[in-house]
Amino acid sequence: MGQIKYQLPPDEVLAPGHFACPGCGATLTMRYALKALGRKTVVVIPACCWSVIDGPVPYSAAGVPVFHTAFETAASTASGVKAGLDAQGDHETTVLAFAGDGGTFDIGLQALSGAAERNEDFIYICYDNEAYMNTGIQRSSATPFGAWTTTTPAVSPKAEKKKNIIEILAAHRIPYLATASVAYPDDMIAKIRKAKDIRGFKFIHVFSPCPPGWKFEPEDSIKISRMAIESKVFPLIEIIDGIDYALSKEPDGIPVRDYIKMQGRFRHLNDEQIGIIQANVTEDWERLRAKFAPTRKVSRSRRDESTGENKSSQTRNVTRTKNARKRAQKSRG
Amino acid sequence: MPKFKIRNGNQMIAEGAIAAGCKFFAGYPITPASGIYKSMIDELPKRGDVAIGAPDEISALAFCVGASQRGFKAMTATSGPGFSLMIETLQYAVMTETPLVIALVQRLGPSTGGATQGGQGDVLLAGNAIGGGYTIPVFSPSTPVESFELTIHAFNVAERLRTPVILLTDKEVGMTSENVDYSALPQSGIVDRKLFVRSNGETYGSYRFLLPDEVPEFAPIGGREKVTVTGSAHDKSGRLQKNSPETIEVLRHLHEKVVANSEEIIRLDIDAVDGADVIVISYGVSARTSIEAVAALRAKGERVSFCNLRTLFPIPEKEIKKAAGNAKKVVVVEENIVGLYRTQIERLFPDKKVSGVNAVGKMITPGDIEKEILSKN
Ligand SMILES: Cc1ncc(C[n+]2csc(CCOP(=O)(O)OP(=O)(O)O)c2C)c(N)n1
Ligand code: SF4
Ligand SMILES: [Mg+2]
Repeated sequence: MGQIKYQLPPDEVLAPGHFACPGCGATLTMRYALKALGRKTVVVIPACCWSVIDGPVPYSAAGVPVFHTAFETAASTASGVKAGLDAQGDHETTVLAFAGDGGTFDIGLQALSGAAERNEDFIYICYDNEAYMNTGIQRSSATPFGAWTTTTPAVSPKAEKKKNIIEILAAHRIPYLATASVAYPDDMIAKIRKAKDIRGFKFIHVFSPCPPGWKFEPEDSIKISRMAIESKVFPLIEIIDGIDYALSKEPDGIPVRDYIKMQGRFRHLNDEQIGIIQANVTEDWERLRAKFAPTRKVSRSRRDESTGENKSSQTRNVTRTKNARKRAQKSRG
Repeated sequence: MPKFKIRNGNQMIAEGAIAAGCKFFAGYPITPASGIYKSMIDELPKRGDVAIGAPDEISALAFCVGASQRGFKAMTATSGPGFSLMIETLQYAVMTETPLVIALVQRLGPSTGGATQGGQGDVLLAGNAIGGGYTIPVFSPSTPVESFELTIHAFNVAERLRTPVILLTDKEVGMTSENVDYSALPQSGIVDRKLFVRSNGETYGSYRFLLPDEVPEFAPIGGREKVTVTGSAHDKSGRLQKNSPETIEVLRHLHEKVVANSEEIIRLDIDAVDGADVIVISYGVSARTSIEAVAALRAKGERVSFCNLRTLFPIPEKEIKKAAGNAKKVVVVEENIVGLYRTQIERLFPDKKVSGVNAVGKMITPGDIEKEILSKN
C-alpha cells in the first residue's frame, strides 16, 4: 500500500448535507474548487444539477455566496459580477463560474466565447458529466460517441464525437486552460490555485462522473475517473496562452474497453463500435501528444508549497511563457 | 371494444403530432416538456422522419422554421425559460408565414421558477408574444385525449393559415398519466398547406394573396420557384420594403388571416345550464378541477354553467358571451397570481361580476372553486 502523502486543504467550505446523488463527480469538483479558492469567492451557477445540489435557500451547502443564473448566461453573469467588484475596488474576491457541460458546450457557448475573447478575469469551471443530467439524461454535445442517453437510445446511440471544448478555448488564446479529474484532487486543487493567481480568463474542464447518468455503482466514481485518464479518454493537461501544452500525468495506456465496460451507458456497444472509440481516442491522443512542446520544469510558487503538496508524486511540467506574464501584467493594470 | 393505454398529455401530444403528419421535431430538454422530446426521438426516426436534439431553444425553433420552409410539418416543445428564448424566432415565423407548432408545457415562473411545480403563468405571454399585437392561435388541452385532439387541430390550423401555433399545456396535464381509450380517440381530418401550382406564365410570390384574409400558397425554398423567406417588412413577393402600400397590406393581412378565420380556429367545450346563475370559465389543469367543483354543486341543486377554453387565442369572445347567457357572475379559474386570462374576460362583461379563483405554487382545489361560486359578493 502506498503512503498517502498529500493532505487536502482542511477547510470544508462545501458543507455536508447537500442534495447530490452518492458518488457525484460534480459535487467533489465543487468541494475541491472551494478548498482551492477559499471563502472569498462568489460562485455563479447556471441551471444544472448544481442548482439543486446546493440545497434550497436558506440551507445552502456551498459556504460561499451562490448566484444561480439563467442557463445560457454563466459567463456573462460572471463577467458582470467581476466588473461590479472591480468598480467597487474589490480585487480580492474570486469569481467562479461553475457550469455543467450543457451550459458550457451548448447553450452557454456564446457567452463563454465572449468572456474568453474579452479575457475576463474570472475562473470558469465546467464539470462535465457528458449529458443534461438535471433534466433526465439527454444528450449534449459533450456526450461521447456511442453513449446511451434518453435521447440517444441504445438502438441508435450517439453517432457524433464529443465536441472538443479544449481546442475551442485554446483557439481563444486564454492565459490558462486545464483539464482536471476528481481522481486527482491534488492536481485539481493545484490547477485551480494557479488559475486564481493568473489574471484574465481561466477555464478548467473537469471530468465528473455521474452514477445514475452513466449507469455504474457510486463507489466506482473515482475508479472510472482514473481509468478515463489511464485510457487517454480524458488526458490531464495544461495549456498556457492557448499555445503551450503540457501533460500533467502520463497515462498508462490501458485499453479504452476497460473504461467502457464499467459503464451501463456503453453496454449495447459491439466490438466494432468499441474499436471505433479506441481508434478515435488513439488518434486524438496522437494529435494532442504532438502539441506538447519541450517543457522546462519550473519551481513551484510559494503558494503551492504552503499546501504541503507532495513534490515527488507528479512532476508538473508547467511553463509560464513570457507572453502569459505580459498579458497578466497588462490586465492587472 | 375499449382499448385502454396509460398515457400522459406529453405522450399524447407526440402521438397527435405524428397522426397530424409531423415529420420533423427539434427538441431541447426542459422539465416538464422533455417527455415530448423523448417520445419524438423514440418514434420519428423509426418512420424515416427526423427528430434532433438542438443545442438551445433558439436553435430548436429555428430548425423547425427551416424544415417547415422545405415543406415539412415541424414541431418543438419547451417550457417558460425556453419559450422566452424562442420569441424572436416565433415572431420571424409569423412574419414569414411559416406553419409550425410549439408545445409550451408551463411550469411555475417567472424565470427558472419551479421546474417541477405546475403553473399557468405563460398564458398572456403566449397570446401576446408577437410585437405589433398579431394573434397566433393558442390551444389549451386539459386531458391526454384533448392533448391528442388539439395537437392535430394545431397542425391543421398551422398548415391552413400558414402560421405558428402554440399548444399551451401545463405540468399536470403534460406529466400526469391516465387511462386513455384509444378506440374512442377523436378522429380528425388532416389538413396540408396549399401548394403553389404554376399555371401558364404565372410567377410565384412567397406572400401573394388577393383578399387580406387569404393565405398565400406555399412553395418550398430551394425548389422550382424562387422563394424569398424574410423577417424584414416585405411586399407580396418578399422584396424588402419599409412602408410601401403593398407592405402595409401584407402586415394587415398577417392580422386578418387569423382574425377573419377565427371560427375555423376556435374549439370550445361548453356545458351550459339553462338559467344558470354562474358560469365557471377555465382551461388546462384548472379546467379539470373546475369540472369537479361544478358537478359537486350541481348535485346540490345549484345552476352553474361551465366553459373549458380549449382555445385561448384568438379570444373566443362571441362563444364565451353566448355561453354566459344571463348568468350574473363569471368565475375564472386559473393557476396564476393575478388572474391573467380573467383580464381578457372582464372586458367582455361590463355588466357582470367577474371574479377569479387563483393560486400560485400549488394547485387549486374543487373546494376553492365551490366557495367562490357560492360566495355572494
Ligand atoms: C433556457 C433553459 N432551457 C432549458 C432549461 C432546462 N434545464 C435546466 S438544467 C438543464 C440541464 C443542464 O445540463 P448540464 O449543463 O450538462 O448540467 P447537469 O444537469 O448535467 O449537471 C436543462 C436542460 C433551463 N433551465 N433553461
Ligand atoms: S444526476 Fe449525476 S451530476 Fe446530477 S447530482 Fe446526481 S450524480 Fe451528480
Ligand atoms: Mg451535464
